[in-house]
Formats: sequence, structure tokens, C-alpha cells
Amino acid sequence: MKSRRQIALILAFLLAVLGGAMLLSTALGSESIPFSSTVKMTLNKLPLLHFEPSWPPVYEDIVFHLRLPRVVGGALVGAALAAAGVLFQGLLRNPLADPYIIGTSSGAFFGISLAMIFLPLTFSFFGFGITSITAFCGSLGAVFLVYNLARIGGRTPVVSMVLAGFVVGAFLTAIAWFLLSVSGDLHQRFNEVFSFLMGGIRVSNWQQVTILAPLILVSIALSLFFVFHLNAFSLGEEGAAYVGVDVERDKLLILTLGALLTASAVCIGGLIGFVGLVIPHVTRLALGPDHRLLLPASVLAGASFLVLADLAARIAISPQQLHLGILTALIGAPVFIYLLRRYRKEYAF
Amino acid sequence: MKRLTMILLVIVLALTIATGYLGYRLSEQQPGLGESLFGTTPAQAKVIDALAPVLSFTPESVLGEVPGTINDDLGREVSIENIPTKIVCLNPAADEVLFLLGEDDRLVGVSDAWLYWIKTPEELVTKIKDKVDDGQIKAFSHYPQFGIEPDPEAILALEPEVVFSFGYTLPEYAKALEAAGVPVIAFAADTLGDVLRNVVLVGKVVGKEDEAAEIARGMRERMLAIGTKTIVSTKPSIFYEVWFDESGLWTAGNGSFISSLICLAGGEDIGTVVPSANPKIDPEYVIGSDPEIIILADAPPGAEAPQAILPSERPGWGNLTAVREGKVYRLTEEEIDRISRPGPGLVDGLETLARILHPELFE
Repeated sequence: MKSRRQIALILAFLLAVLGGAMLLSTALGSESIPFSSTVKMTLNKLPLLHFEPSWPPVYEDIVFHLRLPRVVGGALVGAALAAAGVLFQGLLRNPLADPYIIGTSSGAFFGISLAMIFLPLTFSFFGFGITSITAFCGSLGAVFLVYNLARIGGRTPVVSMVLAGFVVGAFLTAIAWFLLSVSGDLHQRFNEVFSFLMGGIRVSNWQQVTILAPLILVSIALSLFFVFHLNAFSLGEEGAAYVGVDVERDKLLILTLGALLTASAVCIGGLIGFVGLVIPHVTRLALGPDHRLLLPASVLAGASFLVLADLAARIAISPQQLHLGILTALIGAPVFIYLLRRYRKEYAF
Repeated sequence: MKRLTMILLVIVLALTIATGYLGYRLSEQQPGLGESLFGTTPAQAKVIDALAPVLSFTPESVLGEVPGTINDDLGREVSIENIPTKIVCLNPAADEVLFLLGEDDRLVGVSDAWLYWIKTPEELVTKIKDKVDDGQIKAFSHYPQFGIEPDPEAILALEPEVVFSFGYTLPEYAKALEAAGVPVIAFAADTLGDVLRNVVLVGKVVGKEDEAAEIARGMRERMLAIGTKTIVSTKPSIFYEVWFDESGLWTAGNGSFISSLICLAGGEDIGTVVPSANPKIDPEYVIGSDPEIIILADAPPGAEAPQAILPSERPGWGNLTAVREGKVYRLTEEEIDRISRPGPGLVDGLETLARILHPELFE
């Protein structure tokens, strides 16, 4: 058991890491912009300070319109996926649970394929394109469907939820591919479909950030109220009920938060594998299974990790961009194996 | 033992990544013929590299004859006993050649691209659509990038005497057809010279070698006429946008047809720093390179479909030279169609690009 002071220190350290990752990610890119210019032009945006611009105006366009929204978007997606991972792993008591386990990813894919084939793609809503919106709705819709299918006599057993999630997911994916296969302009959609499936931060304007940031941050804040319940869930559902948890109600609420977080992440990140599965495990290995620390620490670690992975995706073979899903697994897997071997004896799920 | 396994694993992984990365970086730097010539600027060298296969083309370089054996683009010898009366052709560029030769009535199967997004030549498009409606021609889907292949059984049922396939490897359906005894000629044009060769190849198969050679020579003349004008012209930097949406920005990279067309049309394509044909590119790089001309080739199929947001309306793009000077050109579906298909229409596509880049040369 860690003291409050220890918890605060660990979280402060992780917050500093996130700050550093975001700073580094804003300073680096295909175009080499001097670090001092980046810092000065950022400070110029704040009141009080003013530096005479000694850089071409195009640098400001690059930093403020292209890099920063993407860095912030990456941090949000990483935080959301890691939080959803902790919620689902704790709720389902399944080490292989990740944000996509109950059909969210397939729901989003289904939504995107519907939009590509049946909806006017020029439509946009507060800076979100139609495919982002249908991905969001598809994710939530799939969870709703899975929850109701798994519900038996007023209870929703975890096992039936996982199985229903798997089956609904497979079914929706099949429909999505069917729709894409029979549509005439499949070849035009290749880039977009592939990008979605491989993941990638697609924040193209600040409007998207201003809408998703509150949604994700509030969902994470609300999840923090459930850390005790998640700890109780590790006793099993009966055990949790004994210590006074309203199992069915909390299951629904945690599920809803997890689904909201995943849907928000999918809508601007596509299907980014690995983060939501492994970040909670890595954090648990390093800091223990207590959700009071595990949840906030995972959120910060997930955000930092994704920001750095996205930086690598941008600069590894710049100016060509790699798909984010390649980098998250490429960097994440070795780190995870290393930690697993190192802490093996003490791992308590 | 365990430690050894780990070390081996790490070495294998590191080697895989390193070789992949080095291969990628080295493929950028293969010097072409142009660079070895004395006294050429790098931009001229690129034009020479694009022109070289055109210059060295002669109709006689297409080997083989029908009836007999003929060499296809994958270097295979295909034997064809008679001039075929029934052809299944999944390479739209070859359909176009057959049409120009007046031999398109031999077609019994085509790619379904004709039904969806191919726009030129208009007469052939309407003809094929009508025939598909009447059931005289069958249309097949082939999207190798999605793993969608036509059913070889359905092709076989049409009893074709030869099948034209498309792709840098022989597709699965084509292997099945060969096994069933149907000769398959594979098309995989790689350079502008290959485009000319393919015209002659199609001509040979239908017994119209001389007419085909005439078409190919005409195309060659026009390519050379444009190339000799642009080789000495200025080379404005240009960004060719294949696709832009929320998920990213795509261009035509080094080694793609489009990048050699741009070279030949007298432009300096900023996408050629990327050594792959259809790269997702960092918008930051485009903005940093500040191209003088932007060409949008993202008009999608169907009039009701969307078009990408104009660069002037994208966050961060407003200060670009091309945007400020109004040098952003959107190609029509017909123009994109000609530029992106390695058939006879390609020369018209080249001329479209040259006129955008150098209107002064065509006055």
C-alpha cells in the first residue's frame, strides 16, 4: 500500500514525463524548426511576453495548425485508451481485455463503412468529418447492443458480455467488409480504410480538440470515482457485493464510461492497437494493482506513450508518415516483455 | 540458454528493422542515366531519366508473334495458337488500345472499373456499359489491395482464348486460368517506354501490329515533343495531391508514373523525396517546401461524391505561395483518368500537366 505522498510523487513524475513528451513532440517534425523559435512563438501566444519574430510565418502555421493539435490529440487518445483499458480489465477481470474487446472497434468500422457508402462525405459537424461521427456512434451502438444481448434475467454476466462482444464484433466487421466489397469505388477508399484500421491521429483542427478534450477529461474524472469499486471487483462479483457494491449498476456505469472513452479515441485515432491493452499492464507491473493509483498513472503513461509513438510515426521515415499502429506495437512490445521478465514474480493482476 | 534466446531475438529484430530502413533510404538514391551525362542540372537529369525509356523504344523491341509465342511484361513466354476472337481483359489500358485499333468487339469480359470511375474515352465507356447491360460483356472486380479477386470459373465460362491480367505479380485468378489451359498475358507497365511497348503487344495479339506500332510511334513523338520543350524550361516546384481527408494526405512518390509525368512536363515534384509510389505524406513537409504550384487530383468517382477541402481553407495552408498566387489547379475526373492509366490516353494527360506547368510553351 502506497502512502498519499508516494502516490502524489509518482503522479507528479508521470505528469512531468507527459509534459516533456509533448514538448519534444511539438519541437520535432519533418521540417526542422529551431527549438528556440518554437519556444518563443509559443510564449508569444501568452500575454505579457513578446518576442520579435525572427522566423518565417510558415513556421507558426506548422507549429500551431499542424503539430500542436496533433500532439494534443495524441495525448487525449492515449489517455482515453489507457483509461478504458484499466476500466475494462478491472471490470471484466480479464488480462486480455482491451478497449476494443466488447465490439467498439468493429462498431466504429461498421459506422465508417456505412458513411462511405450511404452518406454524403462532405458533411461535417464542428470540424468532424462524417466518418469520425459515424465511427463514434458505431462504437457506442456496438456496446449498447452487446450489453443488451449479454443481459440475462436482470444480470449481465462478464462471460456472456465478453462472448457477445466477440460475436457482435465479428458480425459487424463482416458486414462492413461486405458493404465495402460491393461498393464500386472501393479503390478510392483504400487509403482511408487502411489508415483507420492501422490507426493514426487524425486531428486536423482545434475545433475537434475543443469538443473531444472535455468529453475525454470528464469521462476520466468520472472514472476516478469508481476506483474503489474496481478494487472491489477484483474480489469477484460476489465479493464486491459483500463489501457493499451495487454490482449491476456499477457495471453499467463503468461500461458506459469505458465505451465513451473508446469511442472518442476511435473517432480521432482509428484503431490503435496495443496501448489500451499493455499500458495498464505495464503500470500494474510497476506500481501494483490498486486502482486508486493504477487508473491515473495509466492515463498519464498512456498519453505520454502515444505522443512519443506518434512522434516516431511522423519522423521515422519523414516526410512519409508511418501508421501509428505499427509504432505502438514496435515500441511497446519489447518494453512490455522486458518488464514482464523483470517483475515476473510479483505480478498481481 | 534463455539469455541466448533473448540475445538472438534482439539481433534478428534489429537486423530486420535496419535492413528494411536502409533499403528504403537507399532506394531514394539510385543514380539514373541522366546524372551520368556531363553538364546536366539535376532537374534536367530527371527529365532525361523519364525520357530515356521513351527514346529507346522501338516497336521491334516487343518480342514474339501471334500465332506463336509472345513475351509479356513479367518476362514470360505465352503461346497463343490463333488470333483470339474472345478476350477477357482486366487491364483497362489494353481495352483502350483494342478500342483504338477497332478490335474491341473481341472483348467478352472487362474490369468493372469501366462501370464505376473510368471516364475516358467516352465512346468506349458508353459502349462497354451498354454491352454489359445487354449481357454481351461481363464485368469483373479485381482489387488486389483488398484481396478481392474475380472468380476464375466465371471467366472460364466465357471461353476466352486469351486473358489480359494486370499486376506486378501474376494474380491468383490468372494462375488458375493458366492451369485450365487459357493463355494469360500479364501487363505491368513500369515506365513510359512500357506504356508504348504494351500498345504494340496488344496490337500483336489481335494481328494489327502495324497499326499499333503507328499509334505507339505517334505517342512517342508527342512525348518527345513535350520533353524537348520542357528540358530547357524552368522547373517550378509542384505538389501533386492524390487524396486529402481527415485521415491524411497522399501524394505520388518517386518511381510512380505520375512523378515521371510531372518531371517530363517540366516540374520539380516535391513528392519524389519519398521512395514509394503511394505515400502518406506529412502536411508539414508540404507547407515547409512551399510549392509554387499545387495540383489536386482527388476528384473522386461520381459527380455527387465529395471533393477535398481547398488548400486555402485548410488550417495552416493559407500562406503558401501557390495558394496566395492562385496557382492551385484541380484536375477533372477525365484528366485524372488519363494521367493515371498507363494507356494511349496518357499522352493527353502529360500534355494537360505540361500546359498547367508551362502555359507559355503552348502559346
